[in-house]
Amino acid sequence: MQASAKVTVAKHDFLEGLGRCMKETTVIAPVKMKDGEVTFEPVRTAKQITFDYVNDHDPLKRFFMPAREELFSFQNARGKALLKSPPLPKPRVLFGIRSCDLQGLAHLDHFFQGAFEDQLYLQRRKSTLIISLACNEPLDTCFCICCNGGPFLESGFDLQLTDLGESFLVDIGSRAGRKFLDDWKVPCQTAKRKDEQLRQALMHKCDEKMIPTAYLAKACIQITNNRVREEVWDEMGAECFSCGGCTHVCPCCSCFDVFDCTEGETGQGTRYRCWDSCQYSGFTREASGHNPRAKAKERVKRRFYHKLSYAYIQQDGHPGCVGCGRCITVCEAFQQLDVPAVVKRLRRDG
Amino acid sequence: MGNLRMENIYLPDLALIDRIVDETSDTKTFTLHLADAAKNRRFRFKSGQFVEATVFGVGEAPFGFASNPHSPRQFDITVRAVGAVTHAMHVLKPGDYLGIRGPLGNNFPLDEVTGQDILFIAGGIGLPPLKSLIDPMLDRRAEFGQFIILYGARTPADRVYKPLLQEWRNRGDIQFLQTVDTPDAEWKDHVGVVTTLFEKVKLDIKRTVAFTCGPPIMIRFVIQDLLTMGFAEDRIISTLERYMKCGVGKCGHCAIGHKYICVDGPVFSYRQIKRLPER
Amino acid sequence: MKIQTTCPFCGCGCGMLLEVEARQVISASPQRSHPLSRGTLCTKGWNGHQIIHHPQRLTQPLIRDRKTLKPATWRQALTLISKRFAELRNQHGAESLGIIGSVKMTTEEAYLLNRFARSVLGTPHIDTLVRYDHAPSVRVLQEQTGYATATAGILDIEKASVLLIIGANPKAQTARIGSYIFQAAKRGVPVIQIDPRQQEHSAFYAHFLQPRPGTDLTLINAMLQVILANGWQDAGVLGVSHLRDDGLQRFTPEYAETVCGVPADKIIQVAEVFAKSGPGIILYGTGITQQANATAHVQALWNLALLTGNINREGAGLIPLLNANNSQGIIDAGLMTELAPGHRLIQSNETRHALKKQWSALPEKRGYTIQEMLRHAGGKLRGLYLVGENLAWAAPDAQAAVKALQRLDFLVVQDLFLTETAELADVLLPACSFAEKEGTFTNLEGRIQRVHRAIPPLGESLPDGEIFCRLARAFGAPFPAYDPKLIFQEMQSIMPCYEKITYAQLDHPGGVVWPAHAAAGDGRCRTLMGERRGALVPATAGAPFAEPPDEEYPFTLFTGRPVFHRRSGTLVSRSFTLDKEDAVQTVEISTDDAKTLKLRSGWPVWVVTRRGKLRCTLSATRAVAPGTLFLPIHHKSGPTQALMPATMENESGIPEMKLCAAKLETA
Repeated sequence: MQASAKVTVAKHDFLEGLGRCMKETTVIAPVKMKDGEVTFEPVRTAKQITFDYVNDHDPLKRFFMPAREELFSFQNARGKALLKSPPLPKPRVLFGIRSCDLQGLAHLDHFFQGAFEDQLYLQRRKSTLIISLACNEPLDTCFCICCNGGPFLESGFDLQLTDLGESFLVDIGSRAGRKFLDDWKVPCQTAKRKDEQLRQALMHKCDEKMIPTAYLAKACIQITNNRVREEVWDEMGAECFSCGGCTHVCPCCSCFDVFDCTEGETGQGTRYRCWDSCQYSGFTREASGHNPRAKAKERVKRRFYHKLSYAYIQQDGHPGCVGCGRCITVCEAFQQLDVPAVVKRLRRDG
Repeated sequence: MGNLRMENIYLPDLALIDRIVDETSDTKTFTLHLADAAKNRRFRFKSGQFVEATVFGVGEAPFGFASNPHSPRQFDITVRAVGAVTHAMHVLKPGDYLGIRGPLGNNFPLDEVTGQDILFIAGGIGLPPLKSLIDPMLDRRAEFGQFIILYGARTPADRVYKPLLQEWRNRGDIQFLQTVDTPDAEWKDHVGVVTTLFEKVKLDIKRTVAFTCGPPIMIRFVIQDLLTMGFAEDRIISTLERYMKCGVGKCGHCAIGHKYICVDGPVFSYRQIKRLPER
Repeated sequence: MKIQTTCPFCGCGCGMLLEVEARQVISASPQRSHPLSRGTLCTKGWNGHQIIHHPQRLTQPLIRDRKTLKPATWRQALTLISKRFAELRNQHGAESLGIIGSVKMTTEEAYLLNRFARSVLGTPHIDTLVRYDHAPSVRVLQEQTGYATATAGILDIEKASVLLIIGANPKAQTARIGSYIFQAAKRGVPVIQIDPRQQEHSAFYAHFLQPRPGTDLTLINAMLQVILANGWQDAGVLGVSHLRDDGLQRFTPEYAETVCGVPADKIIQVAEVFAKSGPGIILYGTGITQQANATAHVQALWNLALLTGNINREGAGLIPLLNANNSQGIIDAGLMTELAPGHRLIQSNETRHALKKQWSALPEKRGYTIQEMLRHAGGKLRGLYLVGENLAWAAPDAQAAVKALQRLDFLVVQDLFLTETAELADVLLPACSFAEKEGTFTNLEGRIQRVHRAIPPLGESLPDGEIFCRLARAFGAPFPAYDPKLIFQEMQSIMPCYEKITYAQLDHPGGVVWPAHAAAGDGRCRTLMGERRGALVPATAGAPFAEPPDEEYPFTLFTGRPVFHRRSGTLVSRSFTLDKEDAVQTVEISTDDAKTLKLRSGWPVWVVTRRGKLRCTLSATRAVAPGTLFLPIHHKSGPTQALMPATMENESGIPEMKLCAAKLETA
């Protein structure tokens, strides 16, 4: 891991620079909705941006792998079909992304590379400059310290901002990040030692506020060695509403299904992919009707095998969880089947 | 603004249907070639691999190659009508087109098993993928020892490749036995599940490699019997099946444990299968 | 871009955000600030949005030309409708026309349709599918409280000390409520479930009683008898002796045991738990309301709630699990033949007085219910305007319903899709989805919430409300262009329950629960009744259901709601993800019966009743008792309701479609 260069920038200077950038490039940033909640949207001026948030309820993977996206379009014609891939994504800036989501993107980056490269994801990733905002304040559902998902990261960003009050401490994580500062004439000072110390203090404070609710290690051993009693899975399966919420909001989950849509009788259509969930029974049901994971229990087991088994951790280099805590709020089986709750149950079982 | 310049792994190539053969009441074999001549020339696959076939507007489904990898510029897939895509394929005619992505997945060992006795156990629609291995092996018949094919089907009419089965029966250099669950009036061969054929053949267990493919329940019983006979776990080769969508290890549907059938499979030895956390 | 709106599926009314990209809705996600859903959605909430852009959406009006429906302009379609309806009215009178409204429309639209039907067309025959779910609840609650609505809010479940669920599967039907019940059970609140079928969550509940199908009334009365015999009733409740004298005595737990098959000591135990635990809520569904004597069933539950002091108390009450997203709004707007807007009965003078200013005319009597309209179709009833309901699937004895629709002189259907019913239409009008219009939905506890337009209407489709206005104008009535806000204000001026609400309040997370004086509108302890008390009305009489099992049809078949499907499936089956979930129709049989009949799980069978048969996959399970079969409603492979009887209960007009005799045949 490469130590990144650090500078400090007065907050209003940074936002002015970002404002200049907005005139030429799409900038997606956190904004307040009417109900006080925060969502990420393209913004036109820096004034729209809110800093009064910990995180969006939706994971930011949606900007790289939308809930529904086109794989290609087709036009059936006599004796052949004309096929067209979707257009290349335009360059954009994603501002204010939190560490856990960024760590989730690192997880997906790894997954979408490999022997087959998913260019739909990777091109979007490549054309997006990421300015992350480290966390000084956790939510009571946060447990990123359990999964190396924050509150501050060492890499993965183009720029990482730490809120020091009047100014940002800026970690420059890439050439593109430095270019952003140059291009938009953001006045930078070399970071002083005291700035770094201040950040250290903030980090400690944030760490201390966070209750480490998910001690993964024991649960990983239990799952890897298949040592969890069937009754424990039985109970969790019976509790589960199979809503799929946990997988939809998880920054590490990326399963999708594929379907065709045709426009009337024109022979013209589109093949889409949409988010799918391993918690749905249709996820593994075969055309014959046979379903290897017909029971909710098997599906809950699958989800945690993917998140916490050594086989997957070895393959992905990271557990399938970044500690964002979204699965806690989204679960219909309230406080029973989110990662910290299940980890606790698995630890106690054995 | 350009389109994706890099390869879009989800974008199929067009393939034209040269020939369609009715195998059973619900199964057809399609002979295809890629529409792009250059691509078709370069198209190579190995026994056990599969393609994703698209009917545009309906969807995509995976099919194992059912023909000899060495037959030039054409390939077969055998399709049973069970879902939306396969039903849509069944109404197509020669000259119509499909979308094809592939070849995908791993393959059967071939060069690795020369010099060995070979045992195939196939059930119903499980024969086509094995055929892609049987064909090239028979081309090199001399390189293998004893060569046995056992085939089971529900009824005589449910057997695929009936002319070929007759050919195999007539060959002196292989042993081909077939059985059905429910015979009809003309049936003179064996009756019973495919595992009942084991006692009809003489095997040198230590030098035999077994390949089996068919419905999951059949595979389970076959493997059980092979193990009882004393087969080593890595000398039992099978294929696994799951609901599959992308074929390139991304959509997540076919994962068993941390293995993806579409890229790590579909061919697995029993030793590998045994280690999967869900079976 | 994210647009805040309200989930259009069940009666919970969860807050939802639609993500819009290039004029297409690409996802739905939960609203964290919503007081009820609190950042969650169920399977249907997450995936139901996929219907919006389904390629089969109707995008232009269609007019029948002999056997086929051909594209037409709005002007042509509306002119034809007004011409044909006017002809029928001239020839046979206004009462030859009928209207069936959708339970998924906004309340504003329901109100407009009501006004159009009664004051423009002048017909009293107006109904909705609330009839099929909760007509008995409407009748009993209206009578007892003055309002046809739940007497407790959903959040009261968090304050209750005991919960009784009877004839419902909240986890499948109203998942958010299922979640609150589940949380209560996990906190240690005693949950009593009474159902002929064991559900996944039953194991987490303190008490599970499995009576024989069709014996709930005896069981409830036995609980009442036990409570009275032991003096466990609320001290302040009046009219106890009246109840005691009227035949309740014979409902001893021992007698109930012989009828229901539930052990007497278990009945005594749950009666005691329910009476003595403190504030309690009764939640019930169509397992109660679709039986024979449904009105007596609901009355008995009311008696139980009242007797245990659970009316007008925090954390206590009676909650009918209304089925649709806007069943309550439909009732509020009076879109049932016995009702007028604002929970008034159509036949009262007060109603006439209240509506006089806004409505030019108002038929003075109640007209036909759905079943009666079908019965008179082709006879007294000649023309039908059917909005957003697939009766060919949703109606009991569906083949008979289809035949009835075919007997009509003129049928207008308005829907998003070409349903089995729409195929019968003479004119088919394309309505747009919830994502393409403004308005309000009212959830089953009376929570009025905004629906926001996320995208423009697809093709030439229009919001139902806009269509009603145009149609009214085609009849020469001075309806202005459709403006939901103005309609809401008009409703407020004549509906006291909506009175004190400001339009801006509706946009707060969770909207407003009516009556609006409930503190902060959060729906806890709805104080509906003022000084009213409600009365204990004996509900002990009643014949058993019409079709007991016999030698030819040896099983009792009963129906219930699955997780992934809703109603006739017009919508959910067009969500790619939900459709995948709902792959096979299964019929559940007890493991014992399966063994006796030598049948195995996974085998194809025919479920046969006197009205028809349905091919299903068998599932042998301990969840149902010997002698019973369970079928989910519905499945795309065939309508379950087609098997069920359409025998109508006179008190409320609901068909007894929950139970019937059936047999199995191998397929």
